[in-house]
Amino acid sequence: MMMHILSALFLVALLVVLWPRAMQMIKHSPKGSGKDWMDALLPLGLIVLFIIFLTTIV
Amino acid sequence: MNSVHQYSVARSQDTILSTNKLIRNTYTLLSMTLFFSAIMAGVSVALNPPPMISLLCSVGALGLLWFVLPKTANSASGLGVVFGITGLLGFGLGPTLTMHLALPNGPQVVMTAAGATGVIFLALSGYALTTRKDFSFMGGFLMTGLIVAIVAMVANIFLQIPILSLAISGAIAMVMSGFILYDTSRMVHSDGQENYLMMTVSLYLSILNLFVSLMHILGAFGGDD
Repeated sequence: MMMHILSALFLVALLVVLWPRAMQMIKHSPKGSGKDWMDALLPLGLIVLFIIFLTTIV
Repeated sequence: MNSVHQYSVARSQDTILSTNKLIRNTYTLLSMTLFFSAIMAGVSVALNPPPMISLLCSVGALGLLWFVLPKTANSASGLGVVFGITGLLGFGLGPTLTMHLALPNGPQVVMTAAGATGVIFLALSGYALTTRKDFSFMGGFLMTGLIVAIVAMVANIFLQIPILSLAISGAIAMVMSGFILYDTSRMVHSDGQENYLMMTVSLYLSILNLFVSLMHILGAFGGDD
């Protein structure tokens, strides 16, 4: 139980430190067009298929 | 007019050289830190320390990452800090590796996860480097995904729902894959202005988290037969 509490505290500390950077990135990220998102989601989709394939062979 | 043209050509060549130097330095240091980290993980597996060591190493590594590296990133001591961070995280990986190696086909799971991490990293880096697309628009989306995943992890520490744990690993694998695209594109479009130590640590963290997530997913699907 002690390990669980310490792990949770560590993750909460991680959130606290990440929060300002996350807010900055969310507010100031440039907007992507539909084509930009397709160009990013296509390789990520292929990775999902690759991981699914791996789960079938292990 | 001619001198303006010559100036812009010279500047453009300088920018290309700086970007190439940044990419070369980052990948050289990244390969060295991954090798060092693998050695530290091997030492940790051999020593078989208690699981608490993972948490302590993570706290130590993130302390170095947040409070020491930003102050030393432009000096030679920054290199030592990068090896300190990656060495600690590698050593902290030991208990997780030991747990997965103890599964019925544990060595296969660990080696498949390591190989898949390499394939995914090379494929995404190659895609971002050859197409030279700008993925900076993904920053906010990836950060939101990371925050949601961390909140879910905190909840699942107490809820202990196996399917949620698997979903979190899947989400982390996707977010880290996105960060590999994002960071590689940042390196390509930075005109050589980014710090290679920071870029190395950023890519290292994506690779490490991708590896751990894949090991968890493959362990859950393949560890029982």
